[in-house]
Amino acid sequence: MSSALPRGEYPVERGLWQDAWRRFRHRPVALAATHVLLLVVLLALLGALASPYTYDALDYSHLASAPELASRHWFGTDDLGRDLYLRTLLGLRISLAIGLLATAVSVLIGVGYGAVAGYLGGRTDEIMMRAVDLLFALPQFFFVLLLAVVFGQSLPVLFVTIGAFGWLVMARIVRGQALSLRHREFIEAAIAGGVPTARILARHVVPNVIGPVIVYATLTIPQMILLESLLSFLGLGVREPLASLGGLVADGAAHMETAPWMLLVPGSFLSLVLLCFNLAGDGLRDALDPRER
Amino acid sequence: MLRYAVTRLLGVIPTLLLVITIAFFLVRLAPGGPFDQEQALAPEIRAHLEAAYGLDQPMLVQYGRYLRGLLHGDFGPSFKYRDFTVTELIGRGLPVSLAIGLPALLFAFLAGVSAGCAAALRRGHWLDPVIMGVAVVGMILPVLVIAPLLQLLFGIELGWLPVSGWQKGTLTDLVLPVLTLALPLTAYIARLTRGSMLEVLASQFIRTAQAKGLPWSRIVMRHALPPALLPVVSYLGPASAMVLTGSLVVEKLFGLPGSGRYLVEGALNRDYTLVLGMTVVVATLTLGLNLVADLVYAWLDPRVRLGGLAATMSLAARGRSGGGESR
Repeated sequence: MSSALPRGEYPVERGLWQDAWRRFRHRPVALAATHVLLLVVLLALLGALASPYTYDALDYSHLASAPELASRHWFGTDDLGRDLYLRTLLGLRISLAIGLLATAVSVLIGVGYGAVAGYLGGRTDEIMMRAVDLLFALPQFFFVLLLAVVFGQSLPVLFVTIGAFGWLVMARIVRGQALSLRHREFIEAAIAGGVPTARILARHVVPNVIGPVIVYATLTIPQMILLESLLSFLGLGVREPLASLGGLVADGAAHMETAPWMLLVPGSFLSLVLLCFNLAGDGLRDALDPRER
Repeated sequence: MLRYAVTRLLGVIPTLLLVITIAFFLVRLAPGGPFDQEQALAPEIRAHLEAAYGLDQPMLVQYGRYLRGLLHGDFGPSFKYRDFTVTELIGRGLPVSLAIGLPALLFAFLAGVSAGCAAALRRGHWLDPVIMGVAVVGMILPVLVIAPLLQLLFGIELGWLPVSGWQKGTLTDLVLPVLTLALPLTAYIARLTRGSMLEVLASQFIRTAQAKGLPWSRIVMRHALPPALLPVVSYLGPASAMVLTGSLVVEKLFGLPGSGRYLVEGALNRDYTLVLGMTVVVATLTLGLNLVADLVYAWLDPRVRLGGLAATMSLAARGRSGGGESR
């Protein structure tokens, strides 16, 4: 193998991230999905500037009118005469924000929980993971419902309750990684050096599990978005006049015979966002997963 | 095997009790009560109402009463649907939910395993990427979008099936809801089956069977399929939870009088006993189906079927953790 390489052209040593980026770049599907996502985010943030309307203003001369350029309702209006382009962008912003923040919450809980369980091992680990098994066996959505009822329906509460739903798989992944780390030399050196456990966890264990965490976090975002859309659809999520994509789809489904664009516009954006996050996440997994290396 | 079944069955009871306890106190912690109205009630009336429903008792007494009622199948009175007990409401809605949930599970299992096997056995053929492509799309497209599109296509454009509604459970009423509910599950099971089938087909004992000269169909059915089904079986637990969640949405989309409506309305109305009762029923159902999945898993795996209890426990645990990858 070494004889095939001419003098002076030995592979340069590359770090994990360079390596991952190189692999990721060579996956056209994942790369395209990432670009589409970036475009969608840009549209969600800046697109509202192009429209003369606001997301909650009622236009009585255009009730449930189809998309048309002349009236500058590019995606049409809903049954109350609100501009669907702006409402879709609003829904995108809210859905994306919920996806990101709820994922952040679930990463915080999952990484902490998993790292402690895996690093401490033994009986603690067993009890902690049994609890996770137990929660897995239950339909978590019902508990999210219950929490949404108990703590009300404001946005910050939604972030936390939905995020509290997504940490189980994350905890398992991190726990598995931490378990394999705990007898590695650098950890033993840290223990021998008298570093307190909390500091070992924060400085040595957590940074070493960051790869799989990023991959799984990317795949968690669409799940959180989906979960919120279900809550909103049932009337237990974001409240009017704000709306997430799920709420818009629910509205649209109610009027699909007379105004199909009310369903199709937010529905396509929701599908597009979910699809892109999943494809990008799959690409990241292939690029970062240590099992592939 | 029998000993294993009994042990697992006994293990479910404390779990269920824990769930009921958590749900009970969570609901009671909620700010606001079932008697909050636009106009404040006179304090005497409020006191009478609370006494009538036992809400004036200390929390622990209420908890004890609730548990005692549960043992008799009594979920207590509904706070909002006067004149109805929660047991009656659940008894009305649950059969409808099960009538779409169980066929959906069955369909997802059969169709998913067939599609996954077909894809695995036709690797390199055009069928494989086609099936898997459809599966990816089916997994990712949200039910919220698929269901109205199906209604639009089959209900309105083609007019083959009713758009929504429920006429005493005619089969045609069920087709679209069941399909909608089953679609994402079918897709996931197909992917799961394909992966594990490929793994099994590459293993040594399949090569041995081929070397013995067994016919290929027999190898697939008798030797490869049972072990390849293991991950699918352990996914049945999470899948049943997904079906129950999905049926909330599907019932609303298709206007079915299932139990999901009671849960959502109960949640919006702060109908303590109704929400609590639904949670208990749902938790029991899921835990029960998880148990069934574990037993089928044990039965499929000869190491468990013939072996000792110790091996059994660890295997079941491993199966569960392997199956829960998605939501």
